Amino acid sequence: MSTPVLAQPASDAPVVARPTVGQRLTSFMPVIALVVLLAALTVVDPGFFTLSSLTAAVRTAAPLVVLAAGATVVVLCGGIDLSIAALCSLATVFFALWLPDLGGLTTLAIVAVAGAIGALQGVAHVLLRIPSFIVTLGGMSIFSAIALVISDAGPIPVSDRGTTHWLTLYVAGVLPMAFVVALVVVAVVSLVLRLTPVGSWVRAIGYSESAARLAGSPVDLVKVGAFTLSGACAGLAAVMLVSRNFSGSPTMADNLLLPAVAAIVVGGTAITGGHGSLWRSLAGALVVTLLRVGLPIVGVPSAYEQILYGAIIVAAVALTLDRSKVLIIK
Amino acid sequence: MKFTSRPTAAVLGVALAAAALTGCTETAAGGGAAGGDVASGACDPADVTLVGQVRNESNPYEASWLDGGDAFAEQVGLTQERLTYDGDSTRQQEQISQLLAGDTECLVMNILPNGDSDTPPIVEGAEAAGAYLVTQWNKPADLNVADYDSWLSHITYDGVESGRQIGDALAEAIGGSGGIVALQGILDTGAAKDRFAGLEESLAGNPDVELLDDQTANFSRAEALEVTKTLLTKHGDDIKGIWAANDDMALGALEALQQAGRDDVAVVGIDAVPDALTAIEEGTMTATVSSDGPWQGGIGLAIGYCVATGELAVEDIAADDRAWFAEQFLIQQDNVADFVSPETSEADFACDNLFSRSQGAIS
Repeated sequence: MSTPVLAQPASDAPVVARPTVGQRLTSFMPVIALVVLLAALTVVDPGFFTLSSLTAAVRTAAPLVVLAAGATVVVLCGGIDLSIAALCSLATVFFALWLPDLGGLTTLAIVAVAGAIGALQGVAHVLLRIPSFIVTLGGMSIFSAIALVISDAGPIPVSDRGTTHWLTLYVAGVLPMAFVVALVVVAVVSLVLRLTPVGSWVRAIGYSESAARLAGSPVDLVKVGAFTLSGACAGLAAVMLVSRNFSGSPTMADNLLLPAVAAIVVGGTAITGGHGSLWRSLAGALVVTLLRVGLPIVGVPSAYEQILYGAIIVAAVALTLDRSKVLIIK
Repeated sequence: MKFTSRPTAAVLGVALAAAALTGCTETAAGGGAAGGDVASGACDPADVTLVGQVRNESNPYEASWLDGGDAFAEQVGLTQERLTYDGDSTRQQEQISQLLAGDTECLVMNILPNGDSDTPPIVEGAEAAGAYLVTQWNKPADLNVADYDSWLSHITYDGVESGRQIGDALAEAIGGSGGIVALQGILDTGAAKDRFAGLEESLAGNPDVELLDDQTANFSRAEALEVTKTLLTKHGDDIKGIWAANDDMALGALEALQQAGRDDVAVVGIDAVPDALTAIEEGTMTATVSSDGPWQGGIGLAIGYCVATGELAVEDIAADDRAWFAEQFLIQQDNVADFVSPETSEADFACDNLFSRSQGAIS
């Protein structure tokens, strides 16, 4: 019974500092902001806080959650993806055009193609050393133009609704399937980031890319992966939009770019990279959606709506951002 | 970071448990959706909710539409909820689905769909929720209003008629003979095609008027300015009149004429935007056509209100009145004063007078 006594390697688990109450509170700020906003809307219009109304709100939020979730990983890497909305619009056009030929495979094809387009942008970003802002700004206008050309600048009706019908169902009668899918995306990506080294790589790149490179992290690969995920999420969001609107259109998602970026920032993810998470973007997307649909429905005049929207976004970011994690502001 | 992903896991767990425990359903449970039982209009007039939705309040025509809705609401002692979606189809759908998730039993909606393809989801949402819906301008040709109980009526305007009206006005202004050029709208829209077909009808009736050229300027003032400059260079003094498929292009053409120092060319457009009305008052523009925005804002709510309160039954609306062309008005210098600040009249919105402006069913 003599097992060779090996010197126990030093435990590689880092010393975990227990978060203080204040830190815990900050990390739950996005949820607190969401609850406060919901309470405020309910005070203005008690009719807003009903099961069916909340169901409609999360159904509306689903594509935005998916868009923001994908782009969050790029932001965590310290980059930005400005092409998500245009790519999403392009994907709705592809979906409407391909559905007659591909049938049930269209959804998978759209997600794959959108992911591949995202990967292409990632490769351009890391190989040509062009800032992600510029690459995706170029992507945005290219995708918009392609969408306009191949759709003849107009919406394309989708008559076969069978393929996307499952997205319009409700789980247990209250939870829209599209939102469940969005939750699954957030959960799966979060788990992958947490359970594999990818999460640490992403954070390391976001905090300090050169340090991550020196430490041997596969920086370029991770970045391409982040853009691929962002593209694929744009594709999935496109399928959700088509399932709701029964058509594909070259401008359908264009106006979701700023709400998606707002969702990421309102969630408390640092736009400079490193600090943040996907569930924060989920809460942020719900806040932004409540603002988008809630303000007009409770009767805020359209002139004041934009003022309130801007003010609440800034206030929410001030609340949710963990200043101890963001040393540099740009 | 450990604690931050717990909520995600919890939400996922709950979602999966819910999915496993119960099946999937077609519609959301919970209040609101009464479920299509709409033909029985038994709402107390005080319980009716009136909603008007247009693209943008900064567009004078659409703002006047909402003002007309307010005027009708005041007439029946209610207020209208004014919604705008900034010409963004996605935002329009989001607002409608949120609206339909509320109390829809006595909800009346007068909606301007952003485009043809935006109408089907709105119609199906209203049908499922049992809300009274009137749409205007945009509808796919193959979507039949009579197939729905909640979709009471669709109102639009005959583009062929308006194109012909301004064509005739232009022919008259140039003395019945001479060369004209046409500025077309976005070529694959129904409005552009119909209006140009109207011009062709007018040309057939005025054989001495010659169409020298037709170019598209995409309904845009800036493009019309450039196109008109080119056409003026190409055809010079042969041009006696300019036919534009909307007022914005007509105003762009006027700008080009002023830059070229030409004041002998008659210009006509469609839409009755305020700048065009001013130009007609001053005599620089010849004619435009008005759809009467305030009336549009009121009539949709009036139809829904009359059905909701039981004064009019859906089945009593004649088939021809489910999808119809409304009357439009040719505006020239002699009657422009009547349209500078248009007002609605109560008689137009009486339940027995709702369809008096019909020019016939949409064929």
